Amino acid sequence: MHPVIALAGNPNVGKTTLFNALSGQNLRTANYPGVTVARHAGLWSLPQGEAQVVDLPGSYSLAPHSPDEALVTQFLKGEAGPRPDAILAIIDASNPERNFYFLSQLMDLGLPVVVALNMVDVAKAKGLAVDAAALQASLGVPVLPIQASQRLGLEALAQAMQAALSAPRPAQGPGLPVDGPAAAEPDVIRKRYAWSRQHLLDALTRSPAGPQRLGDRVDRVLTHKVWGSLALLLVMGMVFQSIYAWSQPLMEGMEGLVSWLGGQLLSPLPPGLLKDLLADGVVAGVGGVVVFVPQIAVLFLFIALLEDCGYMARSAFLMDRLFAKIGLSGRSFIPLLSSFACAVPGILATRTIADRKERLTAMLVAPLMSCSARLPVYTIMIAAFVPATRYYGIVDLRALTLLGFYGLGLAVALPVAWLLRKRLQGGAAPLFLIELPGYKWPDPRTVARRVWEQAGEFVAQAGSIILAVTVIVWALGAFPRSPALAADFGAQRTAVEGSRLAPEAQAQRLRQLERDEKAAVLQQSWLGRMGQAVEPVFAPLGWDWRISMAAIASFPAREVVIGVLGTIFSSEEADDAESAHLRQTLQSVQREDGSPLFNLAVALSLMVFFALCAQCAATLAVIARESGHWGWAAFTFAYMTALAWLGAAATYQLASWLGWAA
Amino acid sequence: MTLDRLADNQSATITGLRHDSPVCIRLMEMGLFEGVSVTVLRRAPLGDPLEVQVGDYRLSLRREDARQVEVSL
Repeated sequence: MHPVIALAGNPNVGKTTLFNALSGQNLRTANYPGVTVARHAGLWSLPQGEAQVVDLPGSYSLAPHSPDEALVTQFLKGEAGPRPDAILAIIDASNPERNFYFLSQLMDLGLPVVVALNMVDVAKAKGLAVDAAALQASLGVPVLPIQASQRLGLEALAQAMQAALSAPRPAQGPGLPVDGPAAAEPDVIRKRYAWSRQHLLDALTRSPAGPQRLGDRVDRVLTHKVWGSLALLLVMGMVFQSIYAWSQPLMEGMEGLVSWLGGQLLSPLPPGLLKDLLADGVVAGVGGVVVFVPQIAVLFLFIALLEDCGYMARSAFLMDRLFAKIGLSGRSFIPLLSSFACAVPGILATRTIADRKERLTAMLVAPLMSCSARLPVYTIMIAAFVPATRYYGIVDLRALTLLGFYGLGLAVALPVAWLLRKRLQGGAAPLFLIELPGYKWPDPRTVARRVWEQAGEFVAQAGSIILAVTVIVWALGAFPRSPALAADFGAQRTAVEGSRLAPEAQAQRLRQLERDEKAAVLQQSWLGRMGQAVEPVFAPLGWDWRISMAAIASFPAREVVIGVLGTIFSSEEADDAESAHLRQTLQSVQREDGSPLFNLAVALSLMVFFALCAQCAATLAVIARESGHWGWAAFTFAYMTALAWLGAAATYQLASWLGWAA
Repeated sequence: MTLDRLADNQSATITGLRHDSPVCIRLMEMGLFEGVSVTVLRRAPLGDPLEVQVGDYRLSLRREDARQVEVSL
């Protein structure tokens, strides 16, 4: 059994950078009971063997104020598994006093403590010189100066930790309470700060402030009313553009690679059920997982860079006022913005929100943002049913409609967030206190590791669920098989092949037969029967059983609805939203009474439904995973489906009343 | 006078906190208590939150929380 070392410290002191430097490549993700945010544990090579280092969330106090801080306290007290054998306390030398407040608590826990004095270089630039030897003498625990980002001082740190483990001696802090309400008494806090000042008195020298530092000048611009807002707009535009547009070639490449590989592997197989299962179930499912990887990687590259350089806190500072109105904070800005490209990386990005309830709220409304998977639905419906009218020569009605649907998700998300926040909070306002850390160059290893982990975790955790759902929905559309139907189409095929038609016409006839057979199989499948069973439920939306079925079949992902509609109406190029064939098919299909099935009212109701519904297995899987409870995924599905139905029904009824159903 | 009333770039000394509420406890733990000197550096574009220099670091806090901090010039 390796000894366990807790790596603890305030946020923004270089803790993760130090952790990455210590643990090298021996990384594993540790899950602790009852904890949904995964914590990392790695192996650290000490002179006489290895020790397990656990990277705890940044914390300001052992008297917890957030679930993350509560986790740190529980872990250090041994209430969440075995008690650690020693604490590695990391201190920001450029802000020693407040860091020492937490250190004073760590030293009162009765565990051996080793202090790593980080950012000595930053402190020097600020005119602060901290004497590690003097501190070591006065605190009675080893104090080692390090520069985590440069990997300096780590060997001496390992030796000190080895000594502390070989001959464990509990640290002696001020001896004040660390348990219960007594730990956060105003008097206790004052005494701890007095203790900090007393120990820093001789060890800390302040030289008069030098010339204005670069960071200050940068900050003056980046938080300026005008320039700061412009810079934020620019940065966010770039983040959005990167996940919305720049990831596209990568996504298409990934999908293309999977389908090519699938084709290569499957081509030797004879046509039949097994091949269909592998092609339409498994390969499509794997494609549905990997397609998200580029967006997740690109978004987290930006998030890791922005967080590590210190800009993330500024963006929260700049945007906080807007989000405060709906009970959120500036921290929700980037996750929600990202959700306009895709809710999956957006929900993963809520990990940057410290407040657990705010995080949950952001997670639950993120799927309402109009993501790129809705675009195919909008594109084809608008192209087929919204007239290409221009107002004043430049305002295109179709573009306006598209913009309207982007606004719709946002407009619905605001009151939903406000309501959720009120229900979740129980009245008490959340505390928005964020430190604005000094700017620094991002650490490439920390950034790379974050991107790699995030993508890997998504594939491992949500991937299996997405794959399973895709296979299940495929099976619902493929079963039960009807031998009579197969025999009927077989006979028709033989008839065409034996006919005197020209080879070209024959081939065309055969293709049409194949499409018709697919439509017929779908119609009498479980999926088709489900569509017929729920038809009355969707009748107020102006839908028939075929549209209802397509909506059900799109549970794995919204854009699937296009392909299913194409198949059931046996259209050529069935799953291409840009396809003119499909557009014409949709315009011409009829109800049983001969009236056209689709019209502007039905198209609008379908678009409203897809704007508000939660037809995305990946999103639901990620919500379940990140919130730690399937109940929240079920809740999201329920509330969004209810909103979608109500919105679509209201739209259809209103549009019919306006005469758009003709 | 309270912290939220300070103008940009104005410094003051904390004379106390209004309550023993969780917010005030956390503010104290973050180093805002009697005798500490604070400077309001700036406000966000929409007037809230504030950026405050406390000791050797910068803290962003909302106006309503800054109202809990009593200061004198």
